[in-house]
Amino acid sequence: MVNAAKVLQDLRASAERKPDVVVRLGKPLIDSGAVLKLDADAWLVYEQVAIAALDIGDDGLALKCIQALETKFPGSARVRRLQGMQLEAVGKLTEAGQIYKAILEEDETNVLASKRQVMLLRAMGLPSEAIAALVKYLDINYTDFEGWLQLADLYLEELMYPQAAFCMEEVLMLQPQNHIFHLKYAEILYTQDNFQLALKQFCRVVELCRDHVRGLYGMKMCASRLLKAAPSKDATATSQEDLEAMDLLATERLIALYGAPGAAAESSKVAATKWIETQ
Amino acid sequence: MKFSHKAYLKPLAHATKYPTGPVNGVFLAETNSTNLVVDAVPLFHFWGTLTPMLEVAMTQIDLHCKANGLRIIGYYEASERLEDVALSLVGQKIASQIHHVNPEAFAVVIKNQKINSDDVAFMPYQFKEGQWRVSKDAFSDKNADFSFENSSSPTVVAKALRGGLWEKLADFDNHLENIKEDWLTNKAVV
Repeated sequence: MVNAAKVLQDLRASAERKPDVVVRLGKPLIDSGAVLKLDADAWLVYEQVAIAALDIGDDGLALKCIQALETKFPGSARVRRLQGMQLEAVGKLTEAGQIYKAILEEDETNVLASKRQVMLLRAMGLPSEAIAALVKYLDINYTDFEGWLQLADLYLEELMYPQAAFCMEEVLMLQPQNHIFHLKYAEILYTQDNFQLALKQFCRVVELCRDHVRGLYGMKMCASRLLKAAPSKDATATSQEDLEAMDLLATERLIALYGAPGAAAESSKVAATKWIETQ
Repeated sequence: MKFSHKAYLKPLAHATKYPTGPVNGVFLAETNSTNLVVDAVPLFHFWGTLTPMLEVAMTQIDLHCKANGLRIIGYYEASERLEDVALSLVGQKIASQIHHVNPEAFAVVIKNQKINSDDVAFMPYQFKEGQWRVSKDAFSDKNADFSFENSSSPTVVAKALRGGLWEKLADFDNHLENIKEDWLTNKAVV
């Protein structure tokens, strides 16, 4: 019991999405009533198990948790959001939307309800409405990098690359040290045929995370594209010598990584090695 | 088109492994055979709309095909939205490129709601009159275009997925994070 509570607490702290684990550990705690021994943490466990139960489709367990929370905190916006999510899970999207709308009418700045509303619109297949709601949310909460990431994803789904790139610039201002965000920005730039800037971002990825395979592939793709194109007259562009050096570096690292004994399956190794030769 | 067991299993394992995001991949056939889909290669689950790693993946799959007497014959995807069975904008583009090389190419959207059941979870699309259209009544006696090599595939695959086989599947995103991941053949799954 102590261990289960500890694991659940760690999962809450790391925000990992492992609904199967949460339900397996949390359900006995709730069914036996042992959860109440956790004092203040008990209600966090109820909330956590409720969301996990919705994820894996255990509607009965979710309702049980939400009802316990409703009794303890009547009228709470945080509990009403869970009720909204439960309605979403059973396909009652309009009713769920009404709950979120009511919460936002009382308090425009309610973060959880705003985010659910965006996801609801997205789930209903209304991407432009979801974008509008998220832009409104980010007007107030402009330091929420996860919000900007979500907006980038929505734009990408609509193939609106310049807008997605702008969102990633906001993310990078807030989170400059995360190589995954540089990677995503780099891939958007590449998709827009901006190979000069994409190359710089891929280099940043490899700089922040040594031997990052995806970053190395990106570097090689950009460098070989730029080397095949006519030399740029732009003074800020990377010089031919530097391009050749970067191409060589990426090639050498990829060959070394795939060449290490047992590093990759034979089929992957053969394909990657041939790919490197043909670039 | 006749789907082998592998070619049905891998896309569904892919969609099961990443239920909260879009996934996609391609189907392979033997160079000489006209209608047997022998295998599938899972591509992405991070973000499906960006091109650099798609270019890398498609070239590597081509090289893999040439070395093993295979060719790319189709495209598949699954939406993160449970009920969504429309072929996405990006999906149409990729499928059209495959179709450009290979006139008999097709696309499949996975019916998320059918993955865990004995019903067929593939919704095939064919390129007709300038656009991608759903192939009606596929996998039934009324439609000869799509069928299974082994008619028990849907039942067997649903059972294997309930048993957790999907955990072992690797796509190209997985491979780029850890090159040990065997995305081209996925030997651990079959």
